[in-house]
Amino acid sequence: MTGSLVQHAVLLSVVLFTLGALGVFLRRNVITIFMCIELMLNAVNLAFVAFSRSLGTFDGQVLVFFVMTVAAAEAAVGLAIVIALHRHRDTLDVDAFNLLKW
Amino acid sequence: MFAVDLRPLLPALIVAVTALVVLLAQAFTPKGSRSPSMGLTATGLAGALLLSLTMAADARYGRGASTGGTYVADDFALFFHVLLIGLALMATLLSPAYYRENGGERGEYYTLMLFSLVGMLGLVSTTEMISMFVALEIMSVALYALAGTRRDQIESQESALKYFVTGAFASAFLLFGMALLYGLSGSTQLARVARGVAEAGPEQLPLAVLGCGMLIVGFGFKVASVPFHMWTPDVYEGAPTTVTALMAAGVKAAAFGGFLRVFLGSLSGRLPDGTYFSAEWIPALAALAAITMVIGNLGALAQSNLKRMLAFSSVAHAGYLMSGMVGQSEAAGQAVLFYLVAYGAVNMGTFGLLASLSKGGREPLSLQDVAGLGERRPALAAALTVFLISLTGVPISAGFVGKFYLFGAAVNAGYTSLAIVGVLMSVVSAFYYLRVVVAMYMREGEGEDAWAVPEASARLSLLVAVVVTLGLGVWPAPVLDLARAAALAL
Repeated sequence: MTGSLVQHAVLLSVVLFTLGALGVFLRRNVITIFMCIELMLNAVNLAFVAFSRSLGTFDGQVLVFFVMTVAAAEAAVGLAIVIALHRHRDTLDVDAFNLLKW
Repeated sequence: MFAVDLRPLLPALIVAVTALVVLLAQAFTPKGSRSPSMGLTATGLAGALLLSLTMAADARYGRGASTGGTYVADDFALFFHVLLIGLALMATLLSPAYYRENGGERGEYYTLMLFSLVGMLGLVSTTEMISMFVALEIMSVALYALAGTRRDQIESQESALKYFVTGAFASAFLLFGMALLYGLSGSTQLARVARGVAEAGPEQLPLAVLGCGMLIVGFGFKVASVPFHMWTPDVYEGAPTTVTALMAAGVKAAAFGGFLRVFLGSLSGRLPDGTYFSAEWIPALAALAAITMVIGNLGALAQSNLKRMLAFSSVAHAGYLMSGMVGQSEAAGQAVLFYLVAYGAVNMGTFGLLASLSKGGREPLSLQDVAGLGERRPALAAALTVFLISLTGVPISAGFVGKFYLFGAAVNAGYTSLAIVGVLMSVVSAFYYLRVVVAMYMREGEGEDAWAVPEASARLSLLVAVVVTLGLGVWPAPVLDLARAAALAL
């Protein structure tokens, strides 16, 4: 019973992770890309919690707290960078940020 | 009584406290006067460096100590402590002149650099995956902000954004790899993960291999190996040059430190059927190393911007380092560690030299910008020549000794073809490195002298880089011995 629950949860987390990763490549808006990365991180959280439940150890659950904290810090810095860039260029389309290339 | 040994954390704590002091000192500095950020930073770093050296000297001072089994001060960690703090100190000495010429010197810059260093120190010292993830993020998040410190410049902002998006993407992969290894072993301790992987049955092995692959993707991004290198040229070009120096030298070293600890330290155990688990990922690593060397060097050939050229050279060097790692033995670890020292000093020197030549917001970025340097600034031109020949791998420079050991390790592991690719690509690299030397000495500079005169602190930093580069080339034995001891601690 628990075994199959864990399998389903991990499968779901793989699906969510893949969706997030695809979104990073396919979306063009910086904020959406950022949300896709958050989706990937939360997919990982789901996997950690599921493994933690099946293994009966708490390390995974503890790690999830750290991931959430770090993701919040990352969001603060990331959004600040987006705002700073938006001041220079009135768009959030990644294709417009093309000054640096060969 | 349950006592926790906190000694391994001390150097990182000193760096973190220094970061806070620098920030506070700025807040309490009266308007109009300048806060002593650089002096405070340098003092704190010197203290941390001294402490690390003391700890490395003897077990009484904390060598080999461990904080609850998750954060250790073994020879490996202390080797990296000295290297990373030394590099940060060099970057600090190079910074004030650069920011005076280009605008925007602020205390936060030093604070962020110090926080980033705390992350790097954690990354090489931790033996547990939660701490490793947190350390990696402390290092990276501070660097995202650092890349964008020149707020007036859109290139700097763009590089910060690109670094942030790719960095966060890579972290997610790394974390997923950790999740799979945790699911397999039931622990986040690397030692237990190693045991879990070694005892994995045939039905669990795919999980371990997938987890390993995800970790390679995550670390591959951080060390800038092909095909995860796309961000490198853009970020190196757009970031302020002193920050680029820290990224190229420090971050690469720290990321390789974590990479080595996880892969050579934990994921190469013997499986129940007698084969080694490393056989699962070594071929993948060898393939990545080969394409990284080829694409990095060919990419560098096509560049006209010096910072971009050095960025591709940094990609190529990730390839050389990974081809050493393929050797897996202590000799391989020794080769990688030695090369990280050589490469760190050289890159800090090269980027630092470019930074300290910049004047009035203008940096020397093209070959034409350094033309005539040999005539007008002979000492600096000589220093840059030393760095470039070391990057190429010409004898008497640290780069030669380093590459010799790296490719030697690959050959001993049976990957002779990898060593051949590496040597061929080093020959190719001579073309774009020496092009700069030719421009400095053979081409006439146009118009008036447009370079700044580096100030004393920057000159000291460059001098250290030259001395290390030539010193390790002529007399590498002491550092090789230390690198061997460090590799044995894994």
